[in-house]
Amino acid sequence: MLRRNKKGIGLEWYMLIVAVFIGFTTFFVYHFSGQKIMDNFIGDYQFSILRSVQESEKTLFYVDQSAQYSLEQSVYDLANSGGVSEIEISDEENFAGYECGKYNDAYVWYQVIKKDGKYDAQECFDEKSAETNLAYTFNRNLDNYLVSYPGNIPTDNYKYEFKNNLEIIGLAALPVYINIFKKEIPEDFSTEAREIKPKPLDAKQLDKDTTKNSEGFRDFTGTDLCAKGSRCVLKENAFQQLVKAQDAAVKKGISLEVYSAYRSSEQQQALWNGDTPEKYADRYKDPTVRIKYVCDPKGGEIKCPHLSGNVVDIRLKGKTTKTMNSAEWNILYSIMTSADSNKQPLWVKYSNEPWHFECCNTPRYSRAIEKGVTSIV
Amino acid sequence: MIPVMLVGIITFVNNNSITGNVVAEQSDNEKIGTYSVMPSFRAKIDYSLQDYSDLKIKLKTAIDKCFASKQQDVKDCIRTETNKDGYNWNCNEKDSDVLYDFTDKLKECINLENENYVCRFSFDSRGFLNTEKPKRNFEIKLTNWYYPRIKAELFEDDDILLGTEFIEAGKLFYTDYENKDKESKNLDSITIKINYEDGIPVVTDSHATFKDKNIDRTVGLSKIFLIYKSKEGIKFIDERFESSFRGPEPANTIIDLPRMQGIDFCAKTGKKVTAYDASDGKVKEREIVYKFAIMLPNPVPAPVELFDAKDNLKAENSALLAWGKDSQAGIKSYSVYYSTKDFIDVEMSDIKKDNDIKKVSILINNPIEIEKVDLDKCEFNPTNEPCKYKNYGNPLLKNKLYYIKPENKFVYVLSDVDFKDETDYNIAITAVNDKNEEIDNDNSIKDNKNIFDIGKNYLWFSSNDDLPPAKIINLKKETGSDGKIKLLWDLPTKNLDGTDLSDLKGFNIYYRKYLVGPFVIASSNIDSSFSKKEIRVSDAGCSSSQPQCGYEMEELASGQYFISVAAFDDKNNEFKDTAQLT
Repeated sequence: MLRRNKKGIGLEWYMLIVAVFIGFTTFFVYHFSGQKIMDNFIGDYQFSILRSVQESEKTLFYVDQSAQYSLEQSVYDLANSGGVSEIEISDEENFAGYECGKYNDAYVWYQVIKKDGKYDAQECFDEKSAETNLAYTFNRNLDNYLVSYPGNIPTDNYKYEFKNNLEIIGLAALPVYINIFKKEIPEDFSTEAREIKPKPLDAKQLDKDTTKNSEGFRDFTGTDLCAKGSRCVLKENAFQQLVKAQDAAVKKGISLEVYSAYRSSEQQQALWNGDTPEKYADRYKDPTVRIKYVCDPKGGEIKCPHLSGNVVDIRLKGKTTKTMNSAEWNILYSIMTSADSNKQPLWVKYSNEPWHFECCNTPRYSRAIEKGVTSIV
Repeated sequence: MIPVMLVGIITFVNNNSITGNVVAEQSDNEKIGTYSVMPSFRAKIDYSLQDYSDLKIKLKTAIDKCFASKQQDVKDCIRTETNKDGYNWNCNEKDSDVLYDFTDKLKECINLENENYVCRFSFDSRGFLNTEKPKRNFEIKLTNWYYPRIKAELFEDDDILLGTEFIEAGKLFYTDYENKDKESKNLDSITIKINYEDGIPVVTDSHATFKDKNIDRTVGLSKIFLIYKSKEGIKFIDERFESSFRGPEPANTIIDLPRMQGIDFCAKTGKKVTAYDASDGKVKEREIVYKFAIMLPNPVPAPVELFDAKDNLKAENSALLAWGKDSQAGIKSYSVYYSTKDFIDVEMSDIKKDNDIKKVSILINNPIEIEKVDLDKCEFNPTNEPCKYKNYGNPLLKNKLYYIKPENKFVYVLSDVDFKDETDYNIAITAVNDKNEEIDNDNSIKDNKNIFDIGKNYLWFSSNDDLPPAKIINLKKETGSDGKIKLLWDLPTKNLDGTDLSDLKGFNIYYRKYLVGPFVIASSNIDSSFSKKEIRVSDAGCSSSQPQCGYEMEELASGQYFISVAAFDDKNNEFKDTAQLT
């Protein structure tokens, strides 16, 4: 007679339960495979934001370090120039130079003159200006660091305050913008990525990368057409003329770079009032003298053409106004003034500044067209 | 694609009170929003701007002290004052000093207040005495930068860039003489080549390039840097017209540059920062060095040396003054002081007030350049003209300045109303700059070198009158009813060199028996066989109102005579080539 094993009966039940579990699991797996309901996991975008926060922290750290290095460099540079800083390029033709000049590349602090048989040591350098000049030198050095950062950090963006022995506080006017992407984009540190290769503009991409506002201005800051760190805004027509000029440049194997364009009347007023590192109002207290070096916004677009949004200060990509040679200025001139479909020059040059071009019926542009020239005072 | 609506705002605060801001956006690409943050910062360094005030005070104290104490060499005094007490304010010489030597003077020309000036300057040896490399070839290139700036660059051996400087000069122009105030000829660039040998600079080439109908052309420019400053700006001078610009006033107003002297300082503080420097292209810990300069009036021209005086041969009331030409820039003229009284120890300010001390100013604008002259010999050929100096073949004209090039010295023929022959004079000479400054001769200043020194710039001198009256003319005879001979001749009014005769004293009448022959005009051959009769002007009965002189020769017995008449002056100067008759 067959005897039943009670332990064996228990195992069968266990086997049954496992088989049912596997069966259900297989059913569910097969049933839902091939259907995707989400392309990311929960909290993915929050991670993207956190990555941007991390990126911003890196940027802020870079700015902090740059400021520290710039301060040491500026103290060194300013001492080397006797506490004097000259504004090399200003709105007006006049060079905002140091009144007493230099001797053997050193700025003159005293000029001793003989008058009526007596000697008088006339003071040329006001030590109180050292702080202003340090801020200007600091800003220049800091900008050099900022444009070297892989991201886009605005330049000429600070209002400076000094505290004794010696602390500088830079209060930013504009923020750093960091794009939040769906996916992390690996950082590219290859040199190739930083080479300046002229490439035709992609109209669709340009449209995405720029913003238009209701007043007809196009902001192309951060694009290939705008120098790193600069804020680039133009009227729509002027922007389209610039795009055409860039297309002409690319055909010649070069690229253009705008480093100054539209300036709002508030920005111009800040320049005039001395609220920028140039401190024009401190350097030239008398407005009748100051106007020789910076334009008074009261003069409107005629006196300050940058207010129009139809003016660019431009150079070849990868160059500065100091490193551009005369042949390169000539190439720039020829590209910018090349004819459009109406056989009119895209832009006309202000004769006294090889980087300054105007378009779109500014008074200077109209005068040039009337006279049939492409360079005019 | 998943539309993402406004996600929210995340804020956080760091220790600099910077706020981050997130903005999401409708997007059809990978970008879903923007995060923004204000990049404000704070940086600190252990340093004080007070250094500038401290340095200025120290510098001003040194300047005041050196000028107040009437230091002989103010520049040296200031250097000494700023380098004591453990300080070191001296600068190391650098290659680019060659460039600044040029550009500093160019800027000074540009900044001259007035126009229509000719700037004249040259390279000096500003610190560039690299003994390890005594021969160096530099090139300065000027190019139009952007208006109104030009760029000046210094190269060595054509390619190594040693320095760059930007100058507010408008544009590069060159000009000839005719059109200096009219049209401007544009230049593209200017190249100046300078060879330094043992610290002495020599400009070997200066030329400009320009485009003429799209063809590159060159033009030679003045190598001594004659630059014309006009209303339009500065114009470099075409070498072919250089001599026209060198002409003295009123044709040209020449300004010698520099008109001030500079001292540069490099004050070391011992404080260090980490910084980059283009000199070595490295970032490293460096000492903070404050560089600055001061400008001082040019020192008064140094005392003249090698002063000498000689008699102006065969000339009255004049002297030949000779002295060494000084190489220092800015000398506009020389002043000669003379007096019968001693003024060697008299301060210049008192000399100028003293009416007994006469002054003659000699402008040095355009001296007559001569190669060779023997100041001890001259001869009349022909008469009625000034005596011609040997080896030169020409007279040395009164109140004219000559430059004897091989000897590098000036010669001036002094002939002043108050200067008289046979008078013992104290004579001194000083160099004067364009501000009319000269040595002060202040012996109260210790170690003052700007004083009169016998044998160097002060001497005693007396000139001789060795100029005889001119030859007698219209000598004739009249025989009286008593058979006596009366000689007649014109009153001489000129000296032998054609100048006015003012010291006629009398006449010598030479005579001896003459055997045969008609009247003969003979050359001088007055010898001991002649008898001599000396008469005064009054004996000859002539004067300015009675231009005919006459004398009755009672001494003559009957017969034919050879007779000569010669005039003599107060110093018994007599021309031997006498008028003669028989």
